[in-house]
Amino acid sequence: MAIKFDVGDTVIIPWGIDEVRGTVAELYGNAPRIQVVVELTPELSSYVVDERTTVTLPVEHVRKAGVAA
Amino acid sequence: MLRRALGATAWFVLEELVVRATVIDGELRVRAPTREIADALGLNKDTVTQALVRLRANKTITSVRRGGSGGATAFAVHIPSRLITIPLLADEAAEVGHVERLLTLRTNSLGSSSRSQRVHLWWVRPAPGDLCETVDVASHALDRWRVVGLARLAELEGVHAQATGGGRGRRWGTEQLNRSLLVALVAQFQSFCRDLHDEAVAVHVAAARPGQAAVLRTLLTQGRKLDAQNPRRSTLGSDFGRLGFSFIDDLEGRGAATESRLEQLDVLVDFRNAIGHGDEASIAAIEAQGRIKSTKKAYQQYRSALK
Repeated sequence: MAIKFDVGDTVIIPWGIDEVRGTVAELYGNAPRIQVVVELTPELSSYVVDERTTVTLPVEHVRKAGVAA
Repeated sequence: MLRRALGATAWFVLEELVVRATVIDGELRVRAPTREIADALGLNKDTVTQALVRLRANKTITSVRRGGSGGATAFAVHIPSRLITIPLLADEAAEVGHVERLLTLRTNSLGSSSRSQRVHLWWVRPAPGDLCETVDVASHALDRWRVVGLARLAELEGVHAQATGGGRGRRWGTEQLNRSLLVALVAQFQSFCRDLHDEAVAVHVAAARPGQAAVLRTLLTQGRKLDAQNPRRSTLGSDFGRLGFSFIDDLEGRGAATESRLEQLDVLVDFRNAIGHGDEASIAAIEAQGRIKSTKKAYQQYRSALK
C-alpha cells in the first residue's frame, strides 16, 4: 500500500472505540510490514494522554488527518 | 531439514514467496519481481536472485511462465509434505495485520501426502489460552536479524577489511572503524528486538476481540522504550514484561551463559552510548575497567554473543 504520510504529519489512529490524533515520529520496516511510531501529545489527542508518549502500530491502521477513511 | 538445506537467506525468501502466493489449479503460485522481494525483505537484489537460484536448484520453486514485457517470472512453489503454510483468510487480513508472518511456515504432519502437496491455506487464530503455551513458529524478526541485520554488519566489516587488509594481528588507526562496528551492532540488535516485540504484540492483538484490539495494541506499545532507547536489560524487561511474562528473569533462568550475555549486552550499550555522545572520558573509563575495548576482536565477541 502507498503510504500517504511522512514523519511530522498529523495522523489519526484508533484509540479504543474512538480515534485520536498524533504526529508521525518514525516509520520503520519494509512493505508489507511497515510500522509507524506515533507521538501523542495532550493538545493533539484531546487530552487522552497527560504527557507526551508514543504508540506503535501497523501502517494500515494509520491515516493522515483530513483524509477520508 | 529443508531450512537447513536451503540456508537462512533462501528460506527467508521462500517465506516471502509463500506469503505472496495464491493457489492456482491446486498449485501454489507466485509472481515475484526480484526487486519487490528485495525491497520487502530489505535485502540486496542480487542476494534475492541468488536465493531464487538456490530455491530452483533445490526444486523448491520452478518457473511457470513469464509475464508480459518486463513481467516478473511466475514460480510454482513446491512445499514438501510435513511443511505447510498457514496464511490468513483474506477477509480477516485487515484485522490481524501481519500475524500471518508469525505463522507462515512451520512443520506439521498432515494426513496423506496428496493433501500436503496440495498445500492447504488457512489461518489459525490463537485462542487466548494458547498465548501461554510454547508455539513452534517461524519468527520473521529472527530471520530478519540473522539475514538482513547480520548482512548489514557484514557490509561494514567488509569496509573494515578493505581498510585494514583483513589479516590477523593488531591494526593501528582503526579505532573509529571499530567503534562504528560496535555502534552498528547495537543498532541492528535494537531493530531485531523491536521487530520481535511487534510480532509478539500482533499475536496478542490477533487473539483479542475486534473491539478490544485497538485498546490492547495501545496498552502494549504506548511509551514503548525500544522506540527511543537502547536494547539494554531494563528496556527489554519493561517492554516484553507487558506481554505477561518476566522476560529477563526467564532468560537469566536459562543458565549462566545467557545471564553472561545479558550482562555483556548492558556493557555494550554503555559503551555505545559513550561513543554516540562523543564522551571520551566515559569511553576511557569503560576501557580502563577492562569491560570492553574498541577493537575488532571485541566487536566479534559481542556480535557472536548477540547472534
